[in-house]
Amino acid sequence: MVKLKINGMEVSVDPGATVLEAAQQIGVEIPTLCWRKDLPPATSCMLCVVKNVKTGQLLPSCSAPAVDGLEVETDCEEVLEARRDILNLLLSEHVGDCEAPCRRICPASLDIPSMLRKIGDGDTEAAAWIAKRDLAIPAILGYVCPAPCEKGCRRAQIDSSITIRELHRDVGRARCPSEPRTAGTAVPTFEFPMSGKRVAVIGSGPAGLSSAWKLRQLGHACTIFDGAAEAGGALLELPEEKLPRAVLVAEIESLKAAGIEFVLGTASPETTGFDAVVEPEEHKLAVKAVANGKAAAEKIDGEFQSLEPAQRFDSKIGKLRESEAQQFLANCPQAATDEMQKEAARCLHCDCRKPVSCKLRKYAEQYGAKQSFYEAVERKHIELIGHAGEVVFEPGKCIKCGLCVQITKRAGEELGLTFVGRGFNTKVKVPFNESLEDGLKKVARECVEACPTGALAFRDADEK
Amino acid sequence: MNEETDISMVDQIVEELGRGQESLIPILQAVQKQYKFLPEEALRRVCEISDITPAAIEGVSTFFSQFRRMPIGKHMISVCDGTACHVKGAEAVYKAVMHDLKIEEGDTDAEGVFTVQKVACLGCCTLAPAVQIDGVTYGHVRTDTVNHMIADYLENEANRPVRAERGGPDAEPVGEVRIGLGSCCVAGGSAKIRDALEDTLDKLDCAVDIKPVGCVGMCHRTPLVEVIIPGNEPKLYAKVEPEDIPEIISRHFTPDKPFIKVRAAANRMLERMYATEVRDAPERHALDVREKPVTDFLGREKHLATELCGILNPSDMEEYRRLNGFQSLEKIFAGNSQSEAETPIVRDSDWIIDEIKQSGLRGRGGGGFPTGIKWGIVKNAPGEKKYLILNGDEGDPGAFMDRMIMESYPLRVIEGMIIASYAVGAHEGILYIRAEYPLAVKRVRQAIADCEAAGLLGDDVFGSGHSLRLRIMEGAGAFVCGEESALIASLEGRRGMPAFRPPFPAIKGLHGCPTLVNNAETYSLLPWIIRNGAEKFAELGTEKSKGTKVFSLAGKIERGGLIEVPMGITIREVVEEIGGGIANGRKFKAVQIGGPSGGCIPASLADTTVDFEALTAVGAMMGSGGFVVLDDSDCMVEMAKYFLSFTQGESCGKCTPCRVGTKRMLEILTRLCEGGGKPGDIEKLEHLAKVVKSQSLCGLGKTAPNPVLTTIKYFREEFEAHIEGRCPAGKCEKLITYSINDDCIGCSKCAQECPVDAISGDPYSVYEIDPEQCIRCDGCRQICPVDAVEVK
Repeated sequence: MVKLKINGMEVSVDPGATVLEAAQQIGVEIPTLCWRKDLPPATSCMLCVVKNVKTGQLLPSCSAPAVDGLEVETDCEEVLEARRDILNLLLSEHVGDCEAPCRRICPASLDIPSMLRKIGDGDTEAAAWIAKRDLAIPAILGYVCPAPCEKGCRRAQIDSSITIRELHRDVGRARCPSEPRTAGTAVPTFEFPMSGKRVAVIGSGPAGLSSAWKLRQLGHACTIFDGAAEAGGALLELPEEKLPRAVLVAEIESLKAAGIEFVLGTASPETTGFDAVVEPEEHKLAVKAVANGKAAAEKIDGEFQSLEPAQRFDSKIGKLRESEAQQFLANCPQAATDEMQKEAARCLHCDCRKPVSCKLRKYAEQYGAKQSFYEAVERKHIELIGHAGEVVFEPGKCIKCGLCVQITKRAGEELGLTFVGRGFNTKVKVPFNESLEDGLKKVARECVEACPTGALAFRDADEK
Repeated sequence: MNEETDISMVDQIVEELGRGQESLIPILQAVQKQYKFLPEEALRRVCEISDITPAAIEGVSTFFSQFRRMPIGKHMISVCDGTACHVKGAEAVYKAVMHDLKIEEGDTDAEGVFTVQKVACLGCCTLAPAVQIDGVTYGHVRTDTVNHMIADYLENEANRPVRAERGGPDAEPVGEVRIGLGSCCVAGGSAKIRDALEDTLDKLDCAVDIKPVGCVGMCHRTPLVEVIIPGNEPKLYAKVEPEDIPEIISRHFTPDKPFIKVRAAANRMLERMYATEVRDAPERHALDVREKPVTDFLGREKHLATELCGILNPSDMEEYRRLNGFQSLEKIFAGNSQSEAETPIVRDSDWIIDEIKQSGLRGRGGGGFPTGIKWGIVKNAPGEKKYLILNGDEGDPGAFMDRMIMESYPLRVIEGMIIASYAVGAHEGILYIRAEYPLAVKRVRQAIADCEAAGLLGDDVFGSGHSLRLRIMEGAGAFVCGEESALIASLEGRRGMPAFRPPFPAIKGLHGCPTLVNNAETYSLLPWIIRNGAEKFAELGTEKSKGTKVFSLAGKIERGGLIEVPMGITIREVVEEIGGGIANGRKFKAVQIGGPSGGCIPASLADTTVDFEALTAVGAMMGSGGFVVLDDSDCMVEMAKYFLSFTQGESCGKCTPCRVGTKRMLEILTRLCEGGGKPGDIEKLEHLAKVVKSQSLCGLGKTAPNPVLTTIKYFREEFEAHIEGRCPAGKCEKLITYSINDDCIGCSKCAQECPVDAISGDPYSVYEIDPEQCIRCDGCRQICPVDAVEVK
């Protein structure tokens, strides 16, 4: 057995083990991008550095052998800074958005690209769920939302933005039982986990409704209090031609079906105060949402779990170049005759398919890395490859860790993936410029799962 | 892709070279030789008939700069952008070539005759700037001679018939003429001299031997011709032109038949009369070895690795033996088998390793790791099979020591490898030599064959029972392959990407076996050490840096060349005494030692000694032996940019700090040189340099910031000036303007020289330069007879 010290803690490992393995053995977390348990270390990203206490050297822990008497530190300021520098460098050559601009702008953060892909594929049911999930009242908002998302849509650079609001209205309405054209559709039922906590929501306007919905999704029981006899708050004041009453009713019904309780006609909390309407014994927290109901709900959930509110890292590329826009345009399939499908199929798919599982994003957040720290003189060209198939590849997000290259080689893919070129211009490609599908015949899933960033992803991934 | 590409040759190539991955690079080289580029059909065919995968072939063929995936012109023009060429205006030459061939986009002219490329280093630093067209090297190329060079190539060289070997005269030779045939000499024109010599001697029917010798070291005076007549003082002629040959020959030798002599004299007379340009008699080229500068140049030196320089015929086995060659082997092997010896000394591998340890020899490739210790590790490493590698992938763009050693002393290199193989127990050795060094490859190949024939290589080396087989692998153009683990990756047919060490190649190297890697200079020192004893070697040099070091001395120096000096000599001694000081009366500013891994040492630190520790202490490093002298017209920011652009281009792209960090550093340096510098840029550079230096995977990245850090350290004010938009050295194009002062005599030469018609004026009045149109090619300043062109 080899004995070494990690952060002052003694650890014994088998000879041949690496420092990283030793650290994992005692639960010391070291971030990695290019490392995978079942493959030999690539030693490429250099994020896993630790400090050799005796020599002061920084070592890549994924490859450095654990040797007797070695002492390393994994979380001193120098190591953290070294990791931040690596992330800053990786981000300086990273091109691609963590979030599509439409979604970034949407106050409710509707996963618009996913919804559009589902509509484009003719899967209205799935699209409707995405709209419902993120918006709570997608049909209502389809009438009343000022649609800031459409202002961010990159398609406008080419011709006009996609009519996102109409689309979520229409898919939302498709789920409303009172709508004549979908007669026969039952009120959808929802099953959510139960956290055992109850939240009182005051007011049944759009903000109240969406916060209650989000809280429900997060597992908390929810009661909406409103002084009015009918739910809807300010929405009730809208004339029929602005918002058909049937749509409002249907959406509220669907919320009820999700288990949200409505207590209507009680005293207005504004005049009587919270205590009069809320029974503190029963409700852990009361919320009066005024603007962004969903954000309020998330905040409450954070309170419950005592989480620090985190600023999500967000890589932004801004406007597409003309040539890039044209390339993205090539990804838009010629859709069917259905109007809705046609419109949705105009989406350029400029979103990242791995906004949640991307390790680069996660570590950038954790280490406080900044994309602008080492500014690139010229941003790289953005490409989106293989959009017709199951897997998409975005070279601009590739960190050249070579995991996919190793995996395809190990699997004996006929073509597989390979590094092409050298140095800063190294690219991962299918040999002889063959298609991505031909390169990934056997191990597409494995490659996508191994890819630490959004470079390789499933076209229809729906991470929220 | 060309539909007619006939790929039938591919099968034959694969058949000959093997189907495994380790044959990949040789296969690609052979395919490229056949088709002049790598047609995709050919590559696909290779995959079909071998174990090589498309991923491997695509990865490797795009990694090495030697390989071309697109068709090229009929002839390849390689403009050297090595350090010495760079400081002497290679960029302007490159632009002039492109301009002359009217290439605006891409690298090939419209007719497909010429393809132009920049190459890292042709290893002809003393002839800077150098240009190679196919196999012919042109030295001292100027922007205004580019068109002559191309015309000369098309007229004379492209169709030069291969010359038959000259048969030795029957009569007893009355003397010999030695001619330097190192690459510098050949580039300097020694091949033409040889032709002229043979012609002249044939005509005169003289019994005179022509003897090719390796590098004399005085590369600044090439081509060199030495006339040896037994009983007479040898006479050395430098900078000889073919026209001088008849004169030189007739001065020393008398034709055998009197009437030929008369005819020869008459011919000479006629030639003189018809020559458009009356040339000086070769007197001005004659050098007496006792002449002071030459004595300085050769006198301060100490030839160990380059022993017998200028005397030894690189390919003459008999001569090498006669002049102490292979004595070290005799000492080792013969000593062992002499049972009748009274005091038998067992010179086994432990004795050799101990001897090398005693000598204090450290690896000459750059890192300076103690050679004996490395050998001990390899010897004791567990493993049935052990390999021996010669790292001849000299990539430092200002150095040509290894090339010269392999070209001039191939037998000595092999002798060294035999010693090492016996010491560590290796029976298979590979000489990894840059493909850019065709002459070295040729000579070493010949030497291996000769040694095999002589029983010095093979199953029973020197009758000792020790077996050793050597083969050559031509490197395919990647600086990073100078790094041991990357070199091994490319030997195994993979992309030349380094791996984390440990395990070191000494424990786990080629095919996972213990592998000894040393460079050409290290091997070539071994015979001397074994023959003369460790103590003798240790007497030379300093406390921790023993022996000698070979440098290629180049740049803004009066006399450049290949030098071998004892460790501990000061920089000043090298520059002033050996190099004869700065050329053209300019001021000594700095020396760049160690190439892209080294640093710039300012003139104020010229008393720094040349040894591993002292150079590291001032921020440079020994490196492989580039020694480029800079004068006050060299901009240090530009130098930093030059070296970084080299390492950035040569980064393999594997680890983040090197791949991205060097790119970001280069971007900052580029904007400094182009007038876009911002306050804070110097600090940013320093921060990035720290990241790249401390967090890169291999030596390339870990040392890449050195040229930048040393220039900032010693010339910070120049960086600050660039942020303010000034280039104090007057070098950075975007920061300077050319103008003509009142000294102008109105000769109009500058206006004729200007490639963009930016200069106007009337004859005999003061001319003017339009700064808008001026491309800062420096042509006008160089041609002005009265120095009236000013740069500010």
